[in-house]
Amino acid sequence: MVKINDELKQILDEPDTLKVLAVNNREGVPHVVFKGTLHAEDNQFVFYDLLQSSEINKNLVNTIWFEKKLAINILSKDRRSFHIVGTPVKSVTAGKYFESVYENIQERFGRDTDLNAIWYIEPEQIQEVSFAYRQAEQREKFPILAHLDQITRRDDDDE
Amino acid sequence: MSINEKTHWREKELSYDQVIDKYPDIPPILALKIDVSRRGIAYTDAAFAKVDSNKHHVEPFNYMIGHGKQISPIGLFLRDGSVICQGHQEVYDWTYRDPYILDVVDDKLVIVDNDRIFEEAKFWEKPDFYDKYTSNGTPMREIASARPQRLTIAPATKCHFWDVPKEGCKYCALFSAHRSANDEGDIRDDKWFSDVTETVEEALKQKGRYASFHMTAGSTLSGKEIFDDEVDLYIKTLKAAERVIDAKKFPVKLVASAFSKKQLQRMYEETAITTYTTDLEVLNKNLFGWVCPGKNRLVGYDEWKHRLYDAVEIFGRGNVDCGIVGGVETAQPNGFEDEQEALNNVLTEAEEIASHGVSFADCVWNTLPGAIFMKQKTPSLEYYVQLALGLAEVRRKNGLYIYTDDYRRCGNHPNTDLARID
Amino acid sequence: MAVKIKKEIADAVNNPDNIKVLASIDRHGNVHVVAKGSITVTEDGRIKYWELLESSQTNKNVTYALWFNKEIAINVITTDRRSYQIKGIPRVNLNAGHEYEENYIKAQEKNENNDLAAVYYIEPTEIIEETYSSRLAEETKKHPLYMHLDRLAKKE
Repeated sequence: MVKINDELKQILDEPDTLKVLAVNNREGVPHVVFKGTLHAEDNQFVFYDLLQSSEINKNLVNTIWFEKKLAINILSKDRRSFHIVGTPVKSVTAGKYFESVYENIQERFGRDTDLNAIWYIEPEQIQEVSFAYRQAEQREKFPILAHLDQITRRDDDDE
Repeated sequence: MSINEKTHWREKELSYDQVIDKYPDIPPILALKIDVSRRGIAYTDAAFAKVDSNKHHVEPFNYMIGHGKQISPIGLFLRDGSVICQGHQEVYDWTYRDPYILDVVDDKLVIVDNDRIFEEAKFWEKPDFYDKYTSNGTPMREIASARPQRLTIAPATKCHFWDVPKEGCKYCALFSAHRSANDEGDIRDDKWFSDVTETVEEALKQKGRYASFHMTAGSTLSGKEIFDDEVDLYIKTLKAAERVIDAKKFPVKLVASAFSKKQLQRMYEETAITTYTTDLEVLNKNLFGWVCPGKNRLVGYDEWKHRLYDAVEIFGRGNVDCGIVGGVETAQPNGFEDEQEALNNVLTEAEEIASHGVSFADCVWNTLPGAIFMKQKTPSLEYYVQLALGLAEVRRKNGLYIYTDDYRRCGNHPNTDLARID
Repeated sequence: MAVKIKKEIADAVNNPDNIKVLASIDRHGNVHVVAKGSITVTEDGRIKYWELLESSQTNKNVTYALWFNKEIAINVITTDRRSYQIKGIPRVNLNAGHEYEENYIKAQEKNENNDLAAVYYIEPTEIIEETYSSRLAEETKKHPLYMHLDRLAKKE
């Protein structure tokens, strides 16, 4: 398990941050959705799954049953991006805590909103994948991975 | 009578579909590329009619002599971004397997076998510089050639391993126009180097085309130490290119003789070179002696390997590559008769070499006119698929990259194509 | 079998203000998801995107998907929170030739530091409305019993 640092927690809390969850189905086909409720609690990622019939819910169940992994991407307003590999470790579908979240969800989104489950995901890898960051990393690690006209210009810039 | 009716080759080996079923890790499109490389591809009249020499890369001076009497584009694109480095192949009396067919269906070029359409294909496009001339009046296409993403210059067009008759490599048809004793190959004087500079400058105006600068040549044996003059020639050629490439280091794919550590150090320090390839051709000491007698006599298998390991000390792990002619280890009468035995032998040796930081680039052996081995029978598709998968696994296990000879910077090696998903 | 992308969805994808993400799997089955701003729907109904980084995991995964006819998944979210998921199979990796070079030049016009590893064309196979309100309505219709009873309690 890796630590979710304070910077990432702050980004998660910002209202304009987009959070994406990708989980494979049983046949290994990925399914990807935006999950606005995703946040961090005690070094786990948590989100509220509102629809029992959702494909994501089925896939998460399959993933937790067979100890597979999923992926999360967090995209900040200033285009920084973080990729997380994690494992769902718990799904809460009843109990006092569930009920308190349920009420909270209804206050936020209206009485027509239900709550299927609270999912807890343990992070195993967190990597910054912002484009500028990855581009610099590729340039550093694999300097020959570029077209010759790019390399020529790049050396001009470096001088 | 079709070739199969003569030789019954289809009954003697697993079919394409059987190979795909048996080896689910091989992408079907890559298996097709291997099979086309192995059997060749013959154009129908309709396919030839699609050739537009204003647009397509047709090589008027075909240094791969023997690919056919009719001039065709020198390669094909497949939809996965990979390439087949073959043009139209003629059929000869001794041809053992029917080539694939390149035909036209619904106005599209398609690869066909036994009336089944496999994949759509497109011709390689002509480099923009091809119809231009240097200030010396030299057609630029005589100075440089290209694949879709690499620019190629051949500093020497004579391989001096052929100076002693039949001492050249037996599978090779490269530069076969310059094999006679009196022929020194094309002249490289100051005018030529100046032409190189102008041609490279012109080539780079085509934005997005070139990801690699490639040099290869016949071996030049002369010099105080063997290959010294070859090193000089490559350095001069690179310097000519460097005049118009303003970078300290850039992607250079050099496929050359087995240079000594001192020679390699010199190349690395004096030029922009970043990677190096030298070909052991066949991963078996005894067969090396038979298949490459000149290389064996003048350098030797063990010393060739040793030079590869020395190169890793200079260029780093994964930046040194060894080309092999995949399948030539089954050539008769001295090669392996049993394909499984051949495969085990090659992969065991590959594992040993890779542990020293050397990657592999395997070419699919195709018997070509001009080669001593032109009437040999090449192995089955199954063999080549196993070889590609096996070499890919060797690379993975040893944590090696293969960018210098990959699908983009070369395109002729099924095992390096597999690196795309690592 | 290719499906047609409705104009409303194509417009959402083609709007540069909307965020698009692409999820794909590697050869071991591990899923990966990143934002891909260059995703568009072409006039002939294919999905197109620019892969700018040769070494990216997405590049490897999309190649794998193309080779073995596997599906990838794309999602677009609009500024007014509509969301659509499109599944598709990559069919073409274009990495050389004049059409590629035109895209390369355009990529550099956006940012001169851009290189272009490939242009991918993806055949859409499934389109799913993911906008929460639509999904809720769908679930309510299809699975009316999927709810907590307190929502049915009479109001005092």
